[in-house]
Amino acid sequence: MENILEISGLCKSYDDFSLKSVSFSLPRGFIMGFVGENGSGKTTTIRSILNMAKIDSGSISVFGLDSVTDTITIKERLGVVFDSLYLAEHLNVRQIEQQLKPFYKDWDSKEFFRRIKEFDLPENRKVGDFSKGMKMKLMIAIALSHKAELIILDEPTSGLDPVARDELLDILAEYIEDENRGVLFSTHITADVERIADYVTILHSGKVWYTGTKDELTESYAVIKGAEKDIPAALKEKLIGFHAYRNGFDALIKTDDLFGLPNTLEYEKASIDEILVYIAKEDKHERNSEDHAV
Amino acid sequence: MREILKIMRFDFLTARPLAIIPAVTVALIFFGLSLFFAPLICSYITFGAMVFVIPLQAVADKSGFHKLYGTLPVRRSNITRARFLYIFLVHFAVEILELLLAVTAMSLKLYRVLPNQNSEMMQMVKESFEDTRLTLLMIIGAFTVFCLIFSYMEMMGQIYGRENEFKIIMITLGVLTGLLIVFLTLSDHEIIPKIHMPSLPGTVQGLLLLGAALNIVMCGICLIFGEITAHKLAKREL
Repeated sequence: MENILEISGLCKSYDDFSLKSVSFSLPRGFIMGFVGENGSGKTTTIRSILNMAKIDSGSISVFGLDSVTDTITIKERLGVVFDSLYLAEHLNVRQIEQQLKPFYKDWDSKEFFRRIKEFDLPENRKVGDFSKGMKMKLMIAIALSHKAELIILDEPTSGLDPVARDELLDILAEYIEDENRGVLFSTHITADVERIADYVTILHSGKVWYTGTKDELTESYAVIKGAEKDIPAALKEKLIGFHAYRNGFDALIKTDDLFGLPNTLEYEKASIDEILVYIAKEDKHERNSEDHAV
Repeated sequence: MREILKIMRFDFLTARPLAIIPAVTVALIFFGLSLFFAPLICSYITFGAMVFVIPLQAVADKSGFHKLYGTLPVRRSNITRARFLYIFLVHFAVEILELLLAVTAMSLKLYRVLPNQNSEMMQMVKESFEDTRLTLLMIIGAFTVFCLIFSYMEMMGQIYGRENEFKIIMITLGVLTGLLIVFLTLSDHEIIPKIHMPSLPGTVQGLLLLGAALNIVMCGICLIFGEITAHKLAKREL
């Protein structure tokens, strides 16, 4: 399977934060959910892909091209949707189209206005007056109009109402029907990832905690509950985000470690949301959560 | 070069909806006045050029253009260079427009329809219509001063940030004024050799040549400012 995006050993340091050897890849024809708590490094990774942040080491390849030396060629074929509109707010859709069209060889005005109509966006209203959902749709319309092969979305659904979120996810699902395309979708709303992503990368404190298929992730972890006294000593160290309370405990555990579990302990498949919560809890208890990563 | 042209077009289309009404209003007012009172009033149309430049940074900040610049298939250095060339071209276009309007005003001589033709005031008006040299000088001077100020402001704003731009310009002006005063005082007291200002060309053709030379110099200055700024910004992230 050819990778549309490949990140290898990406390191980037700021005064108060650093990305530590981030590596993951997205095969063509799939959607990857890029999740992690706020400040985990999702946006820095995306900025690095776009060559907006200068990486300290590592490599990023998009369409098999180097993200630094071939950045212009890559951006011709890349669509980006940020969490906020990055277009001149006093212009309307027609003026925005006029502005952007010369930058892309494959720009298709007919396609742009078809999408605008399809997304129900008013052509003569200032884009700054659009609702957040409308702004997201406009940015997607732009990405689709220059035939982007990869769309990168940075927290596009945060702040959207459920209907707008649903519409956005439908658009992405439709977009990915063409198997030559790919979507990298950063969010902390894991319900969106559960709904449309094929692959998931979890970033935690600047490191990749998990990368792989969504199904493999949810099958690899379970939430375990019961009385603390029933936990076998060998198992206790393997628990992630262990939280004891008056009547018992709960924690995340790798499904591989469930073998030989006493019947008194209950477990169920973990959702991505639960996995993120337990990773965060593990940090609070100052245990090394990376030891538990897949 | 193609990238620079695309960004210049982008900047123009960004400013146009905000600038067109104020610019046309300014042009109409000063052209109207120049038709009756003095063709050199056309040089004030340069104020109209400002509205094609000033809103750009405010819009860029408000609309998060740093993100847009990060997604467009254009080199960052060319985005910077384009802004300086844009500033030059806006001022150059306005200068040409002013020249055309001034020539029109001088040809029409509409002051003749005004009352009190023999008054002292009207004599001055009449003289201003005959003084092609002064009109040219004002237009070329306005172009040079405004183009220099705006390109310098752009450079300072981009390098040191908009919030520091005013402070830096004030410091620059203060230092330059101080140096000039010291220089002139020393020269006046013959501590240093007296400086003789070069005299301006006495003919219209000479002034036109000077204007052309100043246009070339300003284009060069804008390009140099663009290069300096692009070089400084290259180290920063978007």
